[in-house]
Amino acid sequence: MPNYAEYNFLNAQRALPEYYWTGNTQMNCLKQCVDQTAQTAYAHHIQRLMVLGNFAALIDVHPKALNEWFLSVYVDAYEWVELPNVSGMVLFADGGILASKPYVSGGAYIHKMSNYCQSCHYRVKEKNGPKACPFNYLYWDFLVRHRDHLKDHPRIAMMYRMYERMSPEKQQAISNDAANFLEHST
Amino acid sequence: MSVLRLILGDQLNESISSLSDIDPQHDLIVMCELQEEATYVKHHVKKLVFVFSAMRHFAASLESKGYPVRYIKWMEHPALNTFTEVCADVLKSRSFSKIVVTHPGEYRVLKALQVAEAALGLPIEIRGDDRFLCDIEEFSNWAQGRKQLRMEYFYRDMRKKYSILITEKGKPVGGQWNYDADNRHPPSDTLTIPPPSHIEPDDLTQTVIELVGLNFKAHFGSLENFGFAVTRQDALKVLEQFTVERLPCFGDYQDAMLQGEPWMYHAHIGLYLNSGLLLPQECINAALAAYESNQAPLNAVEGFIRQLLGWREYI
Repeated sequence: MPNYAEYNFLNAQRALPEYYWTGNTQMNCLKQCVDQTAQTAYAHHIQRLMVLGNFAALIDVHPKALNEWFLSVYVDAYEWVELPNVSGMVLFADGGILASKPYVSGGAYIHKMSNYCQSCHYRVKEKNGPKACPFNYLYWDFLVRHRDHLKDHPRIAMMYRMYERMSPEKQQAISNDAANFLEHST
Repeated sequence: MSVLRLILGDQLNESISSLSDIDPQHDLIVMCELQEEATYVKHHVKKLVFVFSAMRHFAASLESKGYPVRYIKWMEHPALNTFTEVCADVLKSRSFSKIVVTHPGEYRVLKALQVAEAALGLPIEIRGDDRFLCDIEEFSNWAQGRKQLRMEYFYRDMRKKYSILITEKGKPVGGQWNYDADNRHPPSDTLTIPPPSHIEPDDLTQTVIELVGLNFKAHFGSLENFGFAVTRQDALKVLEQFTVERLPCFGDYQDAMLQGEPWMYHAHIGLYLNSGLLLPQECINAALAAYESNQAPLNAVEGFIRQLLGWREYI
């Protein structure tokens, strides 16, 4: 699929943060996955999808930048396997040809499936504020940012209903935390 | 008339379609470590070691079986930077009736080869890659008329086509197509995870490690403790070790992540499959054999096979 690399359904424009190369971040899950990747040229599919991919999707990393990263760092990565996984599964850049919805989540599933959160600077149970796990508010902010593209999706519509039931203060806190994080930490 | 057979760095298997009708008396196999291929993104240094070393071992094994190989090492001829330039150089001293190559995995390379035909003035035959169990035409037929593609349905059709984990009545073994619901156990700190396969680098690999260390300083990653297999023989050992030691727990802890445990119960054979050292069918057969001899549970074997027969074929 020659044009597949050009797809950018969600119009994501952010450059890949430097810590994808250095591991220099206080988010322990990301740090562990990047450090391990630098050591071994390997990470398993959930580390790639749920930690490294999920975070990049939440902050709107440009598909070209993320594709290049995955293609570079993994010993098993060739374009034919990497491009559909990254653009299709991770970033939803194809608008739903391969995957039914974007693969994004807050910190809870990472906490359930790993022990990364135990030694993290951030607290996965906190939803807002300086110590809250950034995945938590970035998740809601992502949905709000891409409402036009995602609101009619049957499996995501429920999340929008949850968001609508939040207090205006809560919604504002999500927006502030996300804006602050995106400005200073990406 | 002689044929020039170009083998790319991820086509390292003797059964590759570009070699199917080779005449060792007249034909020539060409392989090359290209600057363009190695540097168009800043590949992890261990990836470069793996690819170069596996290529060199494969070329050596072809030569030991009597096939003539022209192998161009990294910077052996700094002026030869693309497949076209390499082929043009070979054509200076010998004439061939055509170039045969198996369909490349990268669109960028395919385009370059299509352009090369005119530049070289020689027909280039691009053959299908039969390392996949479902070819492109078959997949197009399947995909036709579907607005959205879903791997799960494709996977079920492939299971039926190859009679993998299918009962005599045509139903999935165990009653379900997919056991992912069993495959989401959180990790516990008490898991004892077997150490990963580690193949000690031989002299040839050691040479490549030094070469990469010297020439790719700006690239990502650490060169320390290189232990990947670089030959088909060793890759088969890794597969064997996986099916015995890790596959039984692969399903349960497929989604689990533990700090300091990069390998978990995963197979780490993707690099061997994608480079040609292993073939998908033999990996599926190894998992099926483990299931049939009661060495691994159904959720693990089904999950592993789904990665290969479903996901890998689908994309």
